[in-house]
Formats: sequence, C-alpha cells, structure tokens
Amino acid sequence: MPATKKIKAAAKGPRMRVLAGVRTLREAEFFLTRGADEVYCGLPQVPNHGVKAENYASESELRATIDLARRLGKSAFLVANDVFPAGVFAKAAAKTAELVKYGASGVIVRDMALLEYFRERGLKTYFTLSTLGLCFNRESLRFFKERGISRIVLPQQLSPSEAAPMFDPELGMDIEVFCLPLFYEVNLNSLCSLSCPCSQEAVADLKDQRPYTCLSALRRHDGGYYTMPMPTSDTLLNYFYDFYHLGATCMKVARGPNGDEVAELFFRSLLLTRLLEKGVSREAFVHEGRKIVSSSQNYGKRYIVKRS
Amino acid sequence: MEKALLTGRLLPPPRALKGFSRAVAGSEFCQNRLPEPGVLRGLREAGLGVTLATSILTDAGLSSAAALAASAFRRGFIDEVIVNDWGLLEPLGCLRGLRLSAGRLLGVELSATEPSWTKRFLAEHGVVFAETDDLAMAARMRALGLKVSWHGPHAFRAVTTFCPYERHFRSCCGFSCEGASLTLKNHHLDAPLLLDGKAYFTAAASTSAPRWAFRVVLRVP
Repeated sequence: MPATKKIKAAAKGPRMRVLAGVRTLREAEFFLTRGADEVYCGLPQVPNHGVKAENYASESELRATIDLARRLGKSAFLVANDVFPAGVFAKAAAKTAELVKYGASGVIVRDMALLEYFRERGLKTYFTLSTLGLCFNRESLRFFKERGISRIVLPQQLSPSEAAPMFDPELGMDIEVFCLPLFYEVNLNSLCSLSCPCSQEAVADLKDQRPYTCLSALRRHDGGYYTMPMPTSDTLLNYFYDFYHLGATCMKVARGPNGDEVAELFFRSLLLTRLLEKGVSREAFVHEGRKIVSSSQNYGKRYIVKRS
Repeated sequence: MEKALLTGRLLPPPRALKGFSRAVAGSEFCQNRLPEPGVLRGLREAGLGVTLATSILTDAGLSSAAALAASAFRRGFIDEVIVNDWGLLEPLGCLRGLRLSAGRLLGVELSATEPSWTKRFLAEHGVVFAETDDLAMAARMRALGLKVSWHGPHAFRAVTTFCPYERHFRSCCGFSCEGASLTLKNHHLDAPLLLDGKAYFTAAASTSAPRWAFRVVLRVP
C-alpha cells in the first residue's frame, strides 16, 4: 500500500461548523482561535451529563466565555443535557434563562420540561437536542422540533442509512454529529448504569479508578471471554463520511476532564473534518483517516487523574 | 395483581402460558424482535390479554411497529402497547381505546422529569401504565398516577442498538440472540450480568413486585 494515496481533486464540500466542549475560559480561547466556531460550557447548578471536572468552576468565568465568543464573532452554548430533578427545576431553569438573556448562543437540552419553561415565558433561543434525548427517527425529530428544537446531535448508535430520513430538507433541522471515529459510546449513554469512573471524583492513583464495564473483558458462563462490541474504525470512518455527505452541518468534539487529551482529539477531529470538506473520495478519506485515528474512542471514557 | 408472561417474538407452547392472564409480546430493547400478527392472534386465542412491547425505533422500525400495532389492535389481538420511542406516541394516539404504557427506557426520562410537566404529558398522550424493574422508579411512576407493571427477576442496566450477536445496526437480522443469552462475570462486577438480545441485565434487588404493583411480568424460563 502506498504511503500516501493520491488524492483526486474534487469539488470542495460545504464547511462544517466545529463545536468543542470546554471547561475554562482559557480552553475556550484556545479552541475558538484554532478552528472551533462554537464552544459549549457546563455549570454544576444547571444539570448536565458531565463529570464535575468537566464543568466550569464559576459562573463568572462562563459569562466571560460568552463575552469572548461574542467578541470573536463565534458562539458559546450552555449545556443542560440532563433531566432537571424536581427539587432544583425552578432554580436551574431560571439560571438557564438568565444565561441565555446574558448572551449564551443557545442551550443543549434533554429535558422537555425546560423547553416548555422557555415557551411559557416567551423566551426564545437556539435549542440543540442532546444525543441523550433518544431521538432515532424522523417522527421523533418532528416531535422535538414542535417543542422548539432547532438542531439535533445525532445518536452515535445510528447508521447513516437509518438516519437518512432525519436529514429531510422539509424538516429543516441542523444536524450535528460527533466525530464518530474518535467518539463512540458502546451502550446508550443516558440509559447505562454499569460501573464507570464517570461518577467518581479525581483519584490520585489509577488503582483506585473504577473500571469501565463496557471496556472490560467479561468471562462467559460457557467459557471464553466477551467484550461489549462496537463498530470497527473503518466502519466509523465510513459513517462519518456518509453523515457529511447526507448534510450534517456541525461536528462535535466532546468535553473531557483532561485538557491535553481533548486538545489532541480536537485536532484529530478537525483534520478529519477538513479532509471531508476538501471533497476527497470515500477511499481516500478512509485511507487517510486510518492514520489520524489510532483507535476508536469511547465518548465519555476519560480517566480523571490528579496532577501533583 | 395481574400476572403476565414476557413471551418475546415467538408463540410459546400452551403449557408455558398456564397461570398467566396476559402475555407481553415483542421487546423493549430490540426493534427487530417484533412478533408476527399470527403470534399475537395465537396468544389472544389462548385467552390472554396481549400487550405489544416496542423499543427505541429507527424509521424502518417505527413504520413496522406502528403498522403492526394498528393492525393488531383493529383485529382485536392486542389492547396495550409498551412505548419506548417518542415518535411512536402520535401514530398510536390515533387508535382510540388502545392503552399505552411508558416502557422502561422512556421511563428513565419520564420518571425523572419535573412531575407537573410529566403528568400533563402523560395525560395528553394517553399513557396510563409504566413498566419498570427498579423500585425507586416504580415509586415515582406510582406518584405520577400510573399503574405499575413490575418486571422480574432481572433489571436492565444497559442497552445498545449495535447487535452484540450479529454486530450490526440493521433493522432485519437472523435472530441470533434467541436462546443465546449469556451470563457474564468478572471480578469488578458486584453481580453477574445477563446479556439478552441488545440489553444487559442483573438480577433485580428484589424479585418480588411491590405490593401495590398492578401487574408482574415474568420472563420465559
């Protein structure tokens, strides 16, 4: 196999917006000045599906990020992609609305009661439905659109052929995808209660880390071992190629508690995205993509290690 | 308390149905495991009330599930559907008299959402039952005014749409999972996991249904 495949010149494709999850103003500034069009940010007082270390430490820093995005002509979203428990709903919904009024470009949501809260108060913003919203078909997408959603992050566990009806121009939705070769979840994230480090705080020693059940070798009752399966890297590269050509308009790089790792994944995701925008053929994309993707990552699989 | 048997895709032998007043056919975890209409008719003709269980659905799956539910309901084979996909609510809402139950997957959302919103949503969409295998969720569903259908003895812990047996996402398959459940262990797990189809289960903390549950649903042994 040649070291590099000759890339056939082809018509350039549309540019995808790039969204990166961030935890600090410094990270936001880093990504927004190096290829990201949007960032998304979490606050502990607004329920979201991230570990503590993936959220901003202070609201003032998040507001500063909104200000920064505005100065750069870019966008900063608030992530609120968890169901708001009854006990905190009123406060959390009010905080969400406050940050939208301050200037957040929109909100990434899961909880339909929050959509209703905004609608009842006549508050308008750009809502993105999280993958955690479990929207796997065109009818569900229409259901969410009627409730105020403008964009959907496609579930990672959906093949392009299955997702194709959701790209219907009549629906007119913006469709965002994870850079699948680098971000894929083995089981449906919002419905998984298997042992996982995600619920832990930072540990000083990796020996104290809870294992990921979905990445562990499990002994079968009939002999041998089993690991929870996922599509191959080549499959996920092909899926990413197809989603782009179906019309996905945004590419997402997930938050993580380890900034260096997120930066590495961001640049790899950006390379893959820019390759698609160059208009390369499927074969060339997969060929080049294999070099960029050393192994399929799993969304949310981050080990939080204290640095001394 | 009503006693129901989770029959899955196929029609079990008559002896397996003894002692049960209802059958739950289909699957909450895999859209490919929809039963044929003949199976639903067979269960009805055996004198059972029949519930059709459905899962998270792609467009192909939604089309099949909605068509089957409509046809089976009109022919009197089923009187209930377990719903786990938002997109199925509206097609089923047109079928007057069909009872809807919030499945275990949709229940994760509905049981946690702000209750006043949830109650309005459930009333708007005619959802009167809830399926669960979790005591805390059962209590929340009861507080929402739903009749609780308790599933035992296994509680689901995770679900995937990428088939662990055939390793694809396709909406048609060879049913390789049938009769091929796996028990999985390692030293990290508190209890063994059971892989059945596309879902992983553990033995529920309690194999007995709460006293106030409307129905208990048991798996085919």
